[in-house]
Amino acid sequence: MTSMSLMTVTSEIGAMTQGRAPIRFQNVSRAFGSVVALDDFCLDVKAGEFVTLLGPSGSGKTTALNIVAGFDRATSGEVFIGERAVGALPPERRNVGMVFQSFALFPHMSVFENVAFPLRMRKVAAYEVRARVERTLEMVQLGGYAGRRPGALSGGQRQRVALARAVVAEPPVLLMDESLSALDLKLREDLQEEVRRLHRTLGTTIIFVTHDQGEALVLSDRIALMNHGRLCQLDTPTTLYDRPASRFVADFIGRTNIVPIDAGDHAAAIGLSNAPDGAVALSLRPEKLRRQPPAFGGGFEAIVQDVTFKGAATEFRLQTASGLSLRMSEARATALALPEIGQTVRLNVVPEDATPLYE
Amino acid sequence: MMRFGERLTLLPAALLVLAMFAVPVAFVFAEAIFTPGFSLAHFDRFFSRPVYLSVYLNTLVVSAVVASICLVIGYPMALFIVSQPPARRPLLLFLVLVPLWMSILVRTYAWMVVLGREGIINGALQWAGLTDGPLTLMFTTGAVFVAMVQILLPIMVITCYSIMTEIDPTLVRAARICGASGLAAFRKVFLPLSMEGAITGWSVIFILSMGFFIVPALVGGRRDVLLGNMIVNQVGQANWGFAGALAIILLVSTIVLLGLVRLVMGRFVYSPREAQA
Ligand SMILES: Nc1ncnc2c1ncn2[C@@H]1O[C@H](COP(=O)(O)OP(=O)(O)OP(=O)(O)O)[C@@H](O)[C@H]1O
Ligand SMILES: [Mg+2]
Repeated sequence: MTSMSLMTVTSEIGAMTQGRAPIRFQNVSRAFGSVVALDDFCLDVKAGEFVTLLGPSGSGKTTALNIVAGFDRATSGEVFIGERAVGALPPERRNVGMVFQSFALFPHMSVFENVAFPLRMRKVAAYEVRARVERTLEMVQLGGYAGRRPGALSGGQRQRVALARAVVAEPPVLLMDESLSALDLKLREDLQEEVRRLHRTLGTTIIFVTHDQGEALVLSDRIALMNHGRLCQLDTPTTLYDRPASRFVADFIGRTNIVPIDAGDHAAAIGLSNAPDGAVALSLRPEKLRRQPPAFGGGFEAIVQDVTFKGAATEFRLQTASGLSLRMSEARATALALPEIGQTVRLNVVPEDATPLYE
Repeated sequence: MMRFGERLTLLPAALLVLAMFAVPVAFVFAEAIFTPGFSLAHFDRFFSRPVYLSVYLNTLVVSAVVASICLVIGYPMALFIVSQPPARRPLLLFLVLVPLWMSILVRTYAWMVVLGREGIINGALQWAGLTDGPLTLMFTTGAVFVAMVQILLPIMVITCYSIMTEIDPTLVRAARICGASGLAAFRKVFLPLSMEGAITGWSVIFILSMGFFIVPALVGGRRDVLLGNMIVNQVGQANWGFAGALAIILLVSTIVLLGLVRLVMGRFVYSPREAQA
């Protein structure tokens, strides 16, 4: 797809941040009375990057996004879009696109008028409005729907319209707050595809908020994992998955076994005695545990407590002789016979597969 | 046979409407055209005498003006209340509603106390030395408007407020982030979405005003006669036939006017019911 023409910008900040813009949170704090929603939050999003804010409920994701959008103000600290500190700008002068969880389409306007709205607010000429709205609707595969009211669309179609409205003015920054969470699984996956394609086509900087880690892993260039209003770890999905820095991260991204190092010698009991100094625990992904034929020596023994069929994989709950409870996930292609509950199996792990955690 | 059960729930209301509205209206109608014998003489009398027509027009104008003043004051009041944090709204609504608990008669007498020659306003003006003698505030058209607006305003506030609380605040945010200033977001999104409430409030107040007679009788001047006063007069003189004709004219013109309002509204005003269409 050809890249879209740059819009005729009328607002002064439009001219400044045209194309794509980096976003910087500089020591941003936001307190609601005694509740600290954002606590000295720092984050650098590069121009054109897709960054997801991921974290449990109440970790401050929406607050962070609202401060970028201009719906909320930081108690202290500053947010930069491009080179400019935007703290004092009202939302309409930030040249930012946003997709809301509730779609937030204007119910009294047609699909066409909804998508045309940002262009009309920017005083784009009528013939250009028509052309750009039609092109953007094509882009989200809603070519024939311009005349409908939002009320006459399905959830997925509504969110496509919302997406089109957010990008039609080609803002250098796109914000998405739980934008796909209201959709069912199948639609969500379709829309994820759509969002990725839009990002590739337009090159916009995107901050995406979700508490669905699967979605974050699929979409993001980098994931900013948040907890209690702070940034815990900022990394690519693979690094975050393979090299979590803390217990919280390891536990939040995917499933893992946390093997404590101090208490009860659990780590040594399963052959992981090489943890570096300062590590408090090891993270061991369930798929890194392997069963081996009983005839082989080495490894360690564990009792099967539960076996669950999960489609492509089988999951086991196991208990070692030292009392450590482990999860194991095994591809169903394995040649070994399924053990019964209560049976003892022999397992092994490669020490490199265990990630040291320092907090 | 669910349908029958559903309809049954409407039975008390239907009986009530029949007994309290349809039957009396039919009697009034019969009175108007059969007293003394069958003729349209009463209607003829109404339409051929300028006095009656001018009272009629006056009623329409006063009702429309009162409804419009209520709209201009009540809509922003409702806007203010929805803009407050939810915890503070019940108190504000309560303050708006309190006057509704008092009868119209009591409130009208209260206005007489306020506006009279020795009333609160004149007293204050003279005490402050702004006027030498008492101003004529009572028994004026102005007094009629003030009292009617004060009595009917809460209805407008409530109607507008209830439709405003239905509007998703994210829509206004969405408009802002799309590049609309606060004012533009209000004009393009909030106003069209709340328009139905404003028009409903206007219509209700218009209907109620069309039937007012206590207020103009107590605080209005000799010329502030509404259709309602005329009906009361005619009944007082036992002119049942003519009173009936007046009542029918009042009813029909109200229905026609509201029909027109609905028609215009269906064309130009967004209603949440459309959302499903
Ligand atoms: N307007 C507000 N008034 C008071 N407290 C607030 C307000 N908005 C947010 N908070 C608090 O700030 C904290 C962070 O809220 P925020 O909405 O940013 O979380 P979130 O990460 O978006 O959560 P979720 O995943 O549930 O959407 C929460 O403890 C919340 O209760
Ligand atoms: Mg949130």
